[in-house]
Amino acid sequence: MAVGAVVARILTQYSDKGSKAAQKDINKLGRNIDAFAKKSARAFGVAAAASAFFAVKIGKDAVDAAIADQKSQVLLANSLRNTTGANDAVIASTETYITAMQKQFNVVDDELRPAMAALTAATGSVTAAQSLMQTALDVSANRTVDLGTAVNAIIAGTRGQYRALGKLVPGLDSATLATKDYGLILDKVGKLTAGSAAKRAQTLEYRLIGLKIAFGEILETLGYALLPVLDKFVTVVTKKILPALDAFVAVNKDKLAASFAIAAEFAVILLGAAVNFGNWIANNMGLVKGMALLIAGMFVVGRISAFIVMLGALTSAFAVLRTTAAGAAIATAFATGGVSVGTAVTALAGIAAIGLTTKNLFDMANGKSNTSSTGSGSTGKYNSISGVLGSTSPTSTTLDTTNAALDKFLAGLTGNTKALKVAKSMQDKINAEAVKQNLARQAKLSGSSTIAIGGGSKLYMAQSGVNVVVNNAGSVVTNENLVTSIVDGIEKVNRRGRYIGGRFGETVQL
Amino acid sequence: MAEEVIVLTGIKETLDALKEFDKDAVKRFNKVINDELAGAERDAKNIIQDNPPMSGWRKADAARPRKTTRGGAGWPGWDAGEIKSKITKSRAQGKVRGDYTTSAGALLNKSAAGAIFEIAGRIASGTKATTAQTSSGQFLRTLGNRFGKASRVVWRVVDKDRTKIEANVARALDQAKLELQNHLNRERA
Repeated sequence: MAVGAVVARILTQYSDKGSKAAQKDINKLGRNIDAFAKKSARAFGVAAAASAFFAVKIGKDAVDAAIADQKSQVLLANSLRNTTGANDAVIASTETYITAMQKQFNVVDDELRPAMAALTAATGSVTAAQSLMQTALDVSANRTVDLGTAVNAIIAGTRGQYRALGKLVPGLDSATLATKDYGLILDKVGKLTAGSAAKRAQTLEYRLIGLKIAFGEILETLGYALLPVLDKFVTVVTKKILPALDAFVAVNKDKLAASFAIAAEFAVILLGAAVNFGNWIANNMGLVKGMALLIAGMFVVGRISAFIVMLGALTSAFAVLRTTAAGAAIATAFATGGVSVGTAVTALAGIAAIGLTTKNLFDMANGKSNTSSTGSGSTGKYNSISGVLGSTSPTSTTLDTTNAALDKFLAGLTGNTKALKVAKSMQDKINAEAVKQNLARQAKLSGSSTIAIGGGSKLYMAQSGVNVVVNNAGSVVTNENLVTSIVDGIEKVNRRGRYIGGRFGETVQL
Repeated sequence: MAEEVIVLTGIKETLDALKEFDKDAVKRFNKVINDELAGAERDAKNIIQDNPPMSGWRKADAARPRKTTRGGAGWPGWDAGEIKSKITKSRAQGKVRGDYTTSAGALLNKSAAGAIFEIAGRIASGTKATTAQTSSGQFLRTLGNRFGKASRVVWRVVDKDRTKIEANVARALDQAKLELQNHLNRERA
């Protein structure tokens, strides 16, 4: 179309050029979120874990934004105190002013604060700085330059250097500049650029920026709410966990190094096995989901603290598992499990148990003895997995050998899982373990380490061979309660006409 | 200038699709637009008279121009032929506005003298007409008295004929869409 001509539009048509650009941006945002969600889901394998991790991502962004905002606020406050002797009230009112400017002109506060600090330093007055800030925003919008450039030109003017301002605002004639009257020059600049920032704020681009700023503010608000929690966390880590960790490392550095080596090698094996893990996952979906939830819980609450605590837990878990069946250890983890950090650590001991099972299966696949035979004492010197696996170790053999070992491992794992399913479901194992935990708790309450019902080495049972089950969970609070409950249980069996040998009362010993 | 306009939608899409089936239908639609624009262009050119609007307005650019008079430097001569030749129609789309619209047909008044005649004395929104007793003020008053308020050539035609032109083009566009739909239906069948 001709330039400088009078153009009288007769026909007007809709063009989707602008809306397409906006839609493209929105789609891109959606794709980014989708991509992130997919990556999270892939990392954990289950949707629950993905959503938990997404919560962590939002939390992390919020805390980052709040930290950045807090830093920016502190710097401005410090600058105001140093340059103008501003008190808390003035600093608060300046923050309010910046928030208002941000909303009005859709310019992010992280740009406004340094500009405000620079203008205050140049003028020595908060009021004058606020006045110049408006001019700087208008110049910035009018000439499409960043706020910093406009502020620098205006500050140069306060020093009697008008060249930058003259170049930035072409309408500023040389006669005005020649007067060297900065008030007059600023007045002229103000007239030439007045309203530019407000106009710019109404454009689609800046309204979208405004949306982004509003979202950023929400994140910052969320982040400020999280900061005290984080602060407490940092204090705990600094004052309690790190000294404890220091002491722990000092005492256990050799074991720790060995644990890391084993854990790392387990991780390598498990990662390799995970490629062909479909069958096992299908057979144990409940277990996988449970573990994913526990891990997700750990990430949400605080992965660092969990990891630090886990170091100790792993060490003891390896020691315990040397004398305990791996399946029972997993059952214990779930019977006592939850989503808190403490219980998640217990569950991770269960993961360690899987690691040991894996090692056992490798051993079995290669005709070696089980885990208990590889231990060298209850206090725990850990054998290297490389040493245990010998020539089949994936860290020291060729790829073919590794694949063969993995195949054997998977076959063993699948067979083992099926055998477990036939013998007893995982849920049954967990229930049984829960009952066992209850009995242990009762024993602890009774003040004695064991409860024997019977005389000498004899234990009295119902004739059918069924144990006398005393369900005291939650009702036993004293030794008397416990004895009464047991006696009642035996009486109940006797009333059914089954004599179980001896007179009861004489045969009960505690 | 008219406050309300009809926004046509789907011109490009319809024509692009219709081109695949029926090029003649596309030509028919384009002819409607071109005819309407040509009619408007003709009307605008007819407004331009051979004699200058005022006696002091030279017919040719000044040979030795003075700075202070309408015969002086920078003041274009009233060359009716040139002014008419530079009143043209355009179907260029131009820049997309904030309301996502662009031109599908416009009249252009491209000569300097024609532009002065078109818009001299146009009052910006919220301001008043000049009452200055200067030669400039007198020029505007005389021009206004003889030829009416500003928007005297292409805009006058557009204001007068826009409704008719828009209706005709919209009808032609509907017809083109209908033909396209018929082609698509046949194709689907």
